[in-house]
This record gives sequence, structure tokens and C-alpha cells, in this order.
Amino acid sequence: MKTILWKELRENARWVPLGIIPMIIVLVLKWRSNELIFDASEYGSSLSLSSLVGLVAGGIAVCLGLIQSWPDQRPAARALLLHRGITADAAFCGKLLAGLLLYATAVFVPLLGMAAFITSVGIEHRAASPGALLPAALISVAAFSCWPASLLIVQRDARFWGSRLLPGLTAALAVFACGATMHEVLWLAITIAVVTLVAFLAAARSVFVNSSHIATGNGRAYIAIAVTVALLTLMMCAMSMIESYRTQVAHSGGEAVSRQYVVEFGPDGRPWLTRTSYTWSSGMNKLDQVAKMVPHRSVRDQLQPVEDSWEPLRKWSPYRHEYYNPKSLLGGRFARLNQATIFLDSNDALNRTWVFDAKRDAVLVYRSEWRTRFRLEAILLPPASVGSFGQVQNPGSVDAAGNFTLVSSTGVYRVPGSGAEVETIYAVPQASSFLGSATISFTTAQALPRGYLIGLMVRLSERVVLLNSGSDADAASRPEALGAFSGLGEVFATEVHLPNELATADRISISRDPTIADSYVGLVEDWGRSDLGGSWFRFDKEGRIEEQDRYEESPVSAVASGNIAAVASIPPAFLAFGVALVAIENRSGNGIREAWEYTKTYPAHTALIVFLGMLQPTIGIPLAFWAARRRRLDKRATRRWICWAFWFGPCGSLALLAVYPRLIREPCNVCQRPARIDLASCEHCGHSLDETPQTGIEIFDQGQGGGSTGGSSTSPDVNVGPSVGYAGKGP
Amino acid sequence: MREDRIAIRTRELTRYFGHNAALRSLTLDVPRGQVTALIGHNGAGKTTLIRLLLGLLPPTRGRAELLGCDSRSLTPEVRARVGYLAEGHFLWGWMKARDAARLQRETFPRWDQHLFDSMLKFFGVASNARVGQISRGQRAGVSLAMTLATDPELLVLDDPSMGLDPVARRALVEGLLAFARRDDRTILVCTHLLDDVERLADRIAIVSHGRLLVDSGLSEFRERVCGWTLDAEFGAQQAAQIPGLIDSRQTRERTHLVVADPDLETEAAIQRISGTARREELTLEDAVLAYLRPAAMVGSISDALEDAR
Repeated sequence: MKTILWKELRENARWVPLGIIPMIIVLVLKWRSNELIFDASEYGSSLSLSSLVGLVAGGIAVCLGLIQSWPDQRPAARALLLHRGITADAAFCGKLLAGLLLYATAVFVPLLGMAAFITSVGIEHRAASPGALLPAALISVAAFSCWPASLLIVQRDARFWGSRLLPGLTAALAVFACGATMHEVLWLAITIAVVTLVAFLAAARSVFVNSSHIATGNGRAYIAIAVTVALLTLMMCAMSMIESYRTQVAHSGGEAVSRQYVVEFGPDGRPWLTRTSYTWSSGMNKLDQVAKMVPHRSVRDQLQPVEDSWEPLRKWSPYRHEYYNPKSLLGGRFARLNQATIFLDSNDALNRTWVFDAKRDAVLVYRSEWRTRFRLEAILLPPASVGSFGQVQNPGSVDAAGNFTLVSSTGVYRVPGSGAEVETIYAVPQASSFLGSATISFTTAQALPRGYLIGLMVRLSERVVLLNSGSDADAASRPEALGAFSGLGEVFATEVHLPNELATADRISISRDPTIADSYVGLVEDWGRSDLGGSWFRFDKEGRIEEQDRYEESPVSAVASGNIAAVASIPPAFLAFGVALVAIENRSGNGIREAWEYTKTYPAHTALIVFLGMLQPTIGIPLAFWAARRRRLDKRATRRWICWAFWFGPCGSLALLAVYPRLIREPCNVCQRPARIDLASCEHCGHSLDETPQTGIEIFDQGQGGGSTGGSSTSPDVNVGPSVGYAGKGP
Repeated sequence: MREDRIAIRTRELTRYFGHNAALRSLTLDVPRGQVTALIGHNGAGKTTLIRLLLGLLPPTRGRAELLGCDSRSLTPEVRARVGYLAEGHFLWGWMKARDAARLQRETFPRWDQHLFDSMLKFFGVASNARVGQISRGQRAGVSLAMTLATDPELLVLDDPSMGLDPVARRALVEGLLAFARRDDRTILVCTHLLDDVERLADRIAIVSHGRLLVDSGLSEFRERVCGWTLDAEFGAQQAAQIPGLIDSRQTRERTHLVVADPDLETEAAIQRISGTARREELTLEDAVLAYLRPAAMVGSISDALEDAR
């Protein structure tokens, strides 16, 4: 291994600067793209640092894989490389180690250099932390899977370009998935990175060691996974594009492109079904039809045009998972790891910018000079009575005086524009868990600047706390004044206990009942985002239910219109994974029970989903059976591939065709029927394929076997080669 | 032959590339301690056979053994006992001669640095010379030195004389003869140079269109292939009457026949065609070319030359 490592390093080290240069360019461009925040695109529209690094690192890995494998594919080079006193495994390890070292030099050295640079600059002029580089480092680890993917592309003796390139596509997809999930579900991103890397390395090793027309059993398994996932991705992308095109065509020419149905509280406090249409020509959403919901009956076909003056009640929707839940599998305590510094807000009039520094648990206040140079003006710590800001959720509202409201898991704070201390507007009691928050920041009736916060709700485990500014007529009579609130006067807090039905639900909406004083109305949305059904409650401040109703609005039409293609394109394995994830996520809640209730409530809808879910296996299993027959797999391998096709549909079956090479046949000398060349005898007549006719000019020593001496020379222990290799192998 | 006296053994070895058979049911034994020349025209399947032997290609069917080990699962120990010189004397261009030595030294336990240095000196290559910048012949010298200095038990050479000048070629042959005399060394050499074969080989194996036609001792081969000269017209009808006819060649008014394993019946058939037919001495080259010559091609070339005149 040492020898190969040395050879690879000597041969390829000269290319490393070509990898370092784009990495440095990306880091420098990102550093210069915003004068204060290092990775400003997290809050903007441009590509984030991790995305850019993922692209560059993936490119470096691909290039490295190609230059380490392509030249050595020449037969003489491969012979010189492999014909020596080491195993092919050791040779592969040498290549891998060299690849890793070169990749690490090209990718991680610039990242480490940047981290050192950020540390040396400090926070005086830059709200940057080396921690911001962690997502880029993680995605770089995932991107290394492009290295074995390149080896697979080069060394696998695939029969067509589609199959040959598929591993590369799968690796790129994995890197993308890792990048897409890391900011919210870090554990999933790490799992994707590790599993992809391990699977691709194993597949590349297998192919490198057994590089041949006929892959070994192990190699097939890894390649089957890679090919199946890639085909699925292609299929789902194609379905999405077709669906998108279909929608675009169907609604072009000024017609409403999409309609959104939402249940709102009407002026009477009851639930109303509202329809908002997006018009392609105007590019605007408009609430155009409403219908008052009737218990246990769909009202979709009773929608009526509505006047412009019709407005739903202002409501708060503090969804449980809207906010980061540290106990959640989909969150995890490292979920916000990359947000070492979080941009909060800025005010041009005051030339101030606020940044939350998670490491210091403080708000940094910068004063900008000429909009390009920043100077740290103050470090605002959380009030001593609270101790910590906890996890920050930024509502993004600055008033004219430069104060803004900071919502975090420990409370609601008024962060002043100057260097004064942070004030606590509301502190979450220690015994309570912060589950989420909701704001009302827009207004049309009041003469207030758009975007100013006029109401905020903090959701705790069994109650909600409404914080309203003094200008809100509804809150004017509230007794508890908590201080200035976004410059809109006094803030009043009202605690409202939730009925158990609301407290345990994920998706709830609450409003004051306009018809009965001191009463509230709440809506619990059913499981599933396409479902408009739910339960409506009227309850008092103590959480006692005064009235309730059940509303149903069948979502079948929504599913039937555009989502059929989407559901039908998801293979059962992914569906099962999704269901398992939801089940685990809701293991402490009532998600499973709700799902079961849903199934009972909408049997037709459930049947449709099951039918669509089974569509893929229905096509895939016969296809796998046919493909297994074509490739002459034995019963055991056929059974495994049928299972594979059940979970992954037709894509799993097609992977079989890609993994196993097409069988080549030649006419048998005796029966003249096409016989497999990889078998020792004709599969039809049993005649030995090695018996070739004598021409009479052959000269062989007495006692020597002779090359074409017919059946007499056939050794009884002749290896029939690949026919054995097809037995008992599956994905 | 005793099992332990066989260095290379193939049984019904077959290899297809797509629908094309590069080798068909090849059964061959290469005895230990002898030099076997593997001869064949371009595309006959020689290099494929060598790659199959070394486990660099998997067979479509059949089996090959090298020093008693299945070629599909050669252990590092067996590989270290086998020296292989690939066609074209491939070396990585960035390497210096001493790098080449380092590459081999650490993976071949019986590495002979002295031999390597001597061969470099013979070919006039400095140890710090970059392989990509030396002449083709010198590169061949480095490549040979890398192979021979591993002190292999079995030496497999794929066209080792390619790119060598006559002096170097002669030195190579002498070197190989000296190598073969040491202990019980076996050489399988694939070459197109028949005078080298005559000087070097104990045995000869001829492959044509993927089939093994000859696997025999060199002297036995020469004894069993005979030539006749006829003064009569000779066509396909006459050819069909002669058993074991390998090749017929027309020169002016004469026809030269090459026949394998002639017996009384063969002689009678020839006499029936021409009563004045007489036996002629065949050189090794004549005998081998008779096996290799694609008659149609020779005919077409000579016809083309005639037309050009």
C-alpha cells in the first residue's frame, strides 16, 4: 500500500493547486460579499457558502477521481500497477489514502486557513465566527463521495453510458441532499454523508479489485443501490418537470394558476373556507371566494364570490414545530450549529446592525461607517434575571427608535438601538417549555408602517401568552403593562390556558371571539397539509370548552389534481421511510393516532394513496421477473430482486438490467440454437461448447492436452465461469 | 507430465469481447524450466492470453493456472514470483529510473538492485533520468530491468524486443538464456521475431484466430512440418485431396506446400497431383509463417503489386 500511496502522491500532487485556487476564490468572494456577516447568503438569495464549497469540493473530488483512475485503466498501466506482491485491496487503499490526502489538502487546508483568518480578525469589525465554516466542512466530507463515484464511472465495465454515469449522479444527489438537510436536520445530513461515502467507497473497492465484465456479488449490491437511487431521482425529477409544465400550460393566458384553500376565522368567529387565487398575469394573490363551513360536510362546491372588504379575523398560528425543538429527531441540538452568528436586523437611519452571537450568547451591535466599514459598538448580554437568550427566533421588526423585539426560547426581549441594557418584555417561566411563537406584524386598517409588530403570541406547553401593544383596541383594557413594545406604546400580556385538544395538537390557530367577551376561538388542523378538515373550539381564558364542532373538507380533489403524479412517483421504500419518520417524530405525541383517525375518516382517500403507492411494485415486480429471466438469474437471486422491485418499483427492476450484463449467445455447433457463451455446454442440447472441429494441421506434444483436441481433452474440473457468478446473487 | 513440472496450465480457456471470441477453448501446458515462445499474427489472442494468465482479465469460461494458483485469485506471493513485461514497455512518464526501482523494490521481495543498476548501465540510462524524456529503446531497457531484477521464477514477456536495436536485442536474448539456465526458471515469451525464437525457445506455441494450433517442442515441430515443391497447377480442388495441408504458395511455375504430420497417404496424394513433386527443407520461419499466413491477404497484396507494375 505504501508503494502505491507514494506513486499516487508523486503522480498527482501537482494538481492540488488547481483545487486550492477555486476553494480560496470561493472563500474570498464570500468574505467580500458582505462587509459584516461572513456567510450573508444564509439570509439572502445567493448561494450559501456551504453550497458553493459543496460544488467546488465535489468538482475537486470528481477531477481527482478521474486523474487517479483514468490513466491507470490502460491495460499496460493496470498491469504495472497491480501485478506485484500486494493485493488489489492494498492497491485500492493506497489510491484511496492518496486521494484523501490530496483532497484534504485542496479542500480542508483553505477552510482551516479561513478559520484561522476569521479568528485573527475577531469580532471588532466582523460578525464572523469560524463555526460558520462547519457546514462547509461537513458538505466537503459528503462531497468526497464523488471520488469513488468517479472511480466507478471509469472502472466499471458498464454497457451503456446511462448506467456508467449513474453513480456520479447519485453521488451528486447525495451531496445535494446533505446540503439541503444540514441546516434543519443535521443528524440526517451526517447520516447521508456517511452512508453515501461508505457505500460508494465499498462499491469502488469492489469494482477496482474485481474489475471485469461480470461484476462480483458484492459489487452488484452497491451498484444496484446507486443505480436504483439515481433512476428514482431521474424519474421523480422528470415527473416534477412534467407536472410543472402541465400546470403552466393549463393556466397560462391570465387564468388563475394556483388556488389555495385555507380555513380562516370569519367575522363571526366561525371557520370559513377561503379561496385565494394566484393570477399569472398580475402575479398577485387575491382572496376571491369564501364559504362558511358546515359541520361534517364539505363546502368546497358552495364557495361564493366575496367583496374586497371581507377580512378574516386576525389569528395567531403558533405551530408546535414551527420553532426548533431541541428534543426533536428532526432538529437535534446541533441543528443550528452553523448559525454561530445570526443576522438580526439593521437600521439605515441609525447606521446600526444587530447580530446574535450564539457562542457568546449576546447581541452584538455594530455601527456602520459609509455602509462598508463596521465597528463593534456594544455587546448586549441577556438580562441577569433570565441568564441566557437560549435559541433565538428573529421576528425582524425594528421600530423608528431602533429598538427591536427579540423572541427566543427564554422569552421576549426589547433590544435597544443604543448601548443600553436589554429589557425583558416577557420571560418564559422555568417550569414551562417554549413550543413556538406567532406574530401579527402586518396591518391595513391601522395607520402604522407596514411590517411593524402589533401582536405576538408565545406558546408554552399548556397555555399561550398574548402580547399586544397598547394601540391594539382589543388589548387596551388588559391590566398587565410590561413596558414599551416595538415603539407602539404599552404592551399587555394575557395568559390563556388551552383546552387539551389544542395543547396537544401541532397545528393550531387562535383568535379572540368577536361575539363573546373573554372567549377565544381555536382551530385544530387535521393531519396532513392537503387536508382542510379540523376541529373548531370556543373556550374561555381558563381553557374550558364552551362549544365545539367538527369540520371536514375532503382533500381528495387536491390530491387528484396535481399530487397523483407526485404520490405515484414515490416508491414504497421512500413512503415507508417517511411514515416511519413521522411515527418516530410523533412517538410522544398523537401523530399515529391522528393518522389512524384520518384513515378511518377518509377511506376513499386512503385507498387512493395505497393504490398509488402500490402502482410502482405492480409494474416493478413483473419487470424484475422478466429481467431476471432475461439474465438467467437463479431462483434465489430472482426472489431477492423481486423484493427489491417491490420496494423500489420499476427503477429497482431496471437496475437489474444495468447491473447484470446482457448474456451473449452464439449458435451451438450441434443444435445450431443460440447458446450462452459463458456456459461450458449448450443449454439446449447439452453438447460441450469447447468441442471445436479439428482441421488436421494441429501439432501437439504426445501427452499434452492440446488446444482444440475436442472432448477428449476436456478436463472434468473445467470451470464454467460466470454461470456460477449469477447464482444466488441479488441486490 | 507431472503436475509440479507445469508452470502455466490452461484448460478450455475462452475469452469473448462482446460477440468476438479472442480465445477459444485454449488448452496449454508450459513446463517449468523451459522457454516457450508464443507466436501469432496481430490480433491472434496472444496478449489476451497473457492477461488472462495474470488475472488481469477474467475468462468467459475455462480456467488458467499460474504456478499452481488459479489466475483469478493470484496471491501477492505468487505474483511476486512472476515477472511480467507488458507490451510497449509501459512506464509512467513522470518517473525517474530510480523511482521505477523503488516502485518494484518494495513489492518484490527478491529484488536485485545490482542487476537493475547493471542493466541501466548497459542501456545508458542514468538513475535520475526521467522516463518520459529518454528514448524508446532506453525506456524498453528500464522496463526490462524492472522486470528481470525482480528475480522471478516465471517470466512472462509480451514482445520484449519491441523498440530495441540489434545489439540490445542480442543482449536481451543472451540475458534471457542466462536467466533461463539459472535454477528452474520458466519463460513464456511472446514475439514476432522468429530468429530470436530459434535462438531462445525450447518450445513453441502458435495461436491463430484465438485457437491454439501448435504446442510442441521446437525440434519436434520442425520435424513434423514438412515442405514439398510441385511443378503443377495447384488449386482448391487439389488442396482438398492433401490431408494436413497447412499452406500452399505459388511462385512463378512452382507451388510450395507445407504439410503437418505427413504420412504415406499424404505423400501419395501429392504424387497424384504431380509426379515430380519433391520434398524441400523448411526453415522455422517457413513453417511458422505457413501457420500464420492469411492466404487471402498475401494473395491480395501480391495481386495489388502485380497490378501496380
